[in-house]
Amino acid sequence: MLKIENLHATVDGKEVLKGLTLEIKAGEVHAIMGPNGSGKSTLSYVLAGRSGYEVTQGTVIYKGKDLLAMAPEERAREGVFLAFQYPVEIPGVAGTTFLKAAYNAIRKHRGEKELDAMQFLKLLREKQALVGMKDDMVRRAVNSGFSGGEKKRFEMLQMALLEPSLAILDETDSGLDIDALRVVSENINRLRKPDVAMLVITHYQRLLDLVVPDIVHVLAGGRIVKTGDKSLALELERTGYAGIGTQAA
Amino acid sequence: MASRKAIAAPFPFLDTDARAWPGMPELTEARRHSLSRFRAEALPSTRVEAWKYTNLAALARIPFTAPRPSAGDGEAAQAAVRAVPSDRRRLVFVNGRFHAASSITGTAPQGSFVGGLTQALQQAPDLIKPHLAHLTSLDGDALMALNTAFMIDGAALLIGRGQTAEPVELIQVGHAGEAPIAFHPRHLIVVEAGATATLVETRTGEGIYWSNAVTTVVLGEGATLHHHVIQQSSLDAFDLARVQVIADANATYDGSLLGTGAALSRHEVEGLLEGRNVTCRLRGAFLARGTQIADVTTVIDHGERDGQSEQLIRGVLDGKAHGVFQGRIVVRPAAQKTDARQNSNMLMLSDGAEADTKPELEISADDVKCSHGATVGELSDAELFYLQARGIDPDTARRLLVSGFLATVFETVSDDSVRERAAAAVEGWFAS
Ligand SMILES: Nc1ncnc2c1ncn2[C@@H]1O[C@H](COP(=O)(O)OP(=O)(O)OP(=O)(O)O)[C@@H](O)[C@H]1O
Ligand SMILES: [Mg+2]
Repeated sequence: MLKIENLHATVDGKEVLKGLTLEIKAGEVHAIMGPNGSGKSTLSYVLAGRSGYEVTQGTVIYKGKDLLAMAPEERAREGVFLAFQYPVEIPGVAGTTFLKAAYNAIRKHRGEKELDAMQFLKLLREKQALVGMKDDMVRRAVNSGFSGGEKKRFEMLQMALLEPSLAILDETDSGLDIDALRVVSENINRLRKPDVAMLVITHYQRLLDLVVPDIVHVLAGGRIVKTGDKSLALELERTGYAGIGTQAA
Repeated sequence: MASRKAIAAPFPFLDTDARAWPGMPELTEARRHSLSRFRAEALPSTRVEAWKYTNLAALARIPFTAPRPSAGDGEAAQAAVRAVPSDRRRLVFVNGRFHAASSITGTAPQGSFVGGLTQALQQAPDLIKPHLAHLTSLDGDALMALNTAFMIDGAALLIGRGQTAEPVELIQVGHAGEAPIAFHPRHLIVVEAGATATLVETRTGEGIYWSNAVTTVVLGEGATLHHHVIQQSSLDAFDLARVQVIADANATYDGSLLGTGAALSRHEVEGLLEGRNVTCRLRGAFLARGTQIADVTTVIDHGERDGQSEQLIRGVLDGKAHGVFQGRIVVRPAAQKTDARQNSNMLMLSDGAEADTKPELEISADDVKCSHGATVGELSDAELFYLQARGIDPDTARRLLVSGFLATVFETVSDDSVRERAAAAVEGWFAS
């Protein structure tokens, strides 16, 4: 599904990713852990196509295509979804307007008929129930004045609606209360299907208790420095990054 | 030619014989004085502080004549009526003249009048007389004098004590043929003590014309006026509109503007908050591209204590457009406990566009809250990326962000149809 090879990327002239290699097969859930500032969000932005994140070396192949050659919106339409570590507030743009535009853009790309307002709202209600978001929340301006937890729930609503084939979740579990954490893990697990791959960036074992990863990587200094199964996360929990011979970049 | 503060403006219409004009014998003197004043002063140049950023030189070069009734007026009026999605009462004006056949005035209760100003002078002189001084005043600048000299007609909305009036649509069409025309609408809105009224203005048109409008709003004690303007004038037009609000104690003026039209537009609001505890809310949004010039100028004069004024002005500028916001807040010595807020934000969509903002505070009372903020910025990359990361193409993303930027201005408008029409006007701007 996703094959990253020797990826080097710079931000503002600073090299952050320094030869990152990673492969995720369809149906797999990979967790990435790593010290603050090690490049996890940078990796997620590079995969989603954010400008200012310049790839200087390496390749990323997604579903057999060169992901890096695609515009951000093409990637999204091809099924790449990034749940942002810091979801962006968009004043004045109603959540429903935004979600409908996104949903229909993706449908159109797939050659499916766009939904009208009524059909869309019906579908949206179903998805809202999955993440526990009320109508008034989704009618408000996107993320505007949302609490940290509400923003993460809204990211999950988008994921449930857009049904991606590659979901990258950047610390979606950070700052969540127990109920919200359950909602997030349920939504990740619901999406877990043979034709879907996931990359879950997290600092906490408590998420990985609920979403059990197939593979765990440690990213440090812009590289994957260690890969293992779910027990690696438990080991990190005990020893910290220093314990496995890595440190912050 | 008086000085470098003036632009010579020998418009052909200045020689129109105004003696034949109907309905306003009381105005003859005022007209005469005003005309000689305009002849002496001519148009303000950019050396006049209030016109520092908006240059009327292009206007002065056009040989405007006075409009004559033409065969196409009725059709133009009907087209404008059809474009307004409302079955409310309406006052329709073509080139500044009341078009009775397209209007629906309904029957106003005792003490109220809804119709044309000329008509009001004939049919309800007793209601107009107490306010005649506003029409004959020789105060104001050269454009005001020009309006007084050539006013023929306008809307008359007079709402009697304690009445709650149904909303009224004021539909104004500019309809110029081959020759450029100038007209000078004069609207009189009086909301007496304890009364409430809503006026929704739309301005559309075709061809080269100059609308030099003056609206006088008189609010009695505790009166409320909701006054919304949607300006979609001809892209070859000059649309100058001045709104003077004179508010008594506990009154509320609740105004909004959405402007997309005109080669050059200026929406000027002068709020004289004469009584205690007056609320004045101004929202303005404009979109301009090409070589359009869009100007919003406000003066809020707090004369008495406990007043509140709130202004939010936003402009979207593309191409080589020029946006202007000048906002002056005056707080007189008696106006303690004034709460005055002003914000302007200009969104630049191109490198060639230009924005000028000038907030001014003149505060002569010590126990007041006054704040102002002015920003000039571009679309946020982070916001654009967030939308693109959800599959939305960059053009649609930009459109959503611009619509959102302006929708925020109208969030506090209570009239749903106004909010919807403002949103539709923004959509229309993108589509055109
Ligand atoms: N715009 C930028 N300009 C300069 N440096 C940047 C920029 N963006 C990110 N960086 C740097 O790149 C490095 C990696 O940042 P990144 O956000 O990818 O870390 P992270 O692993 O996601 O950390 P965290 O766990 O705290 O979220 C950091 O040192 C950060 O300061
Ligand atoms: Mg991060």
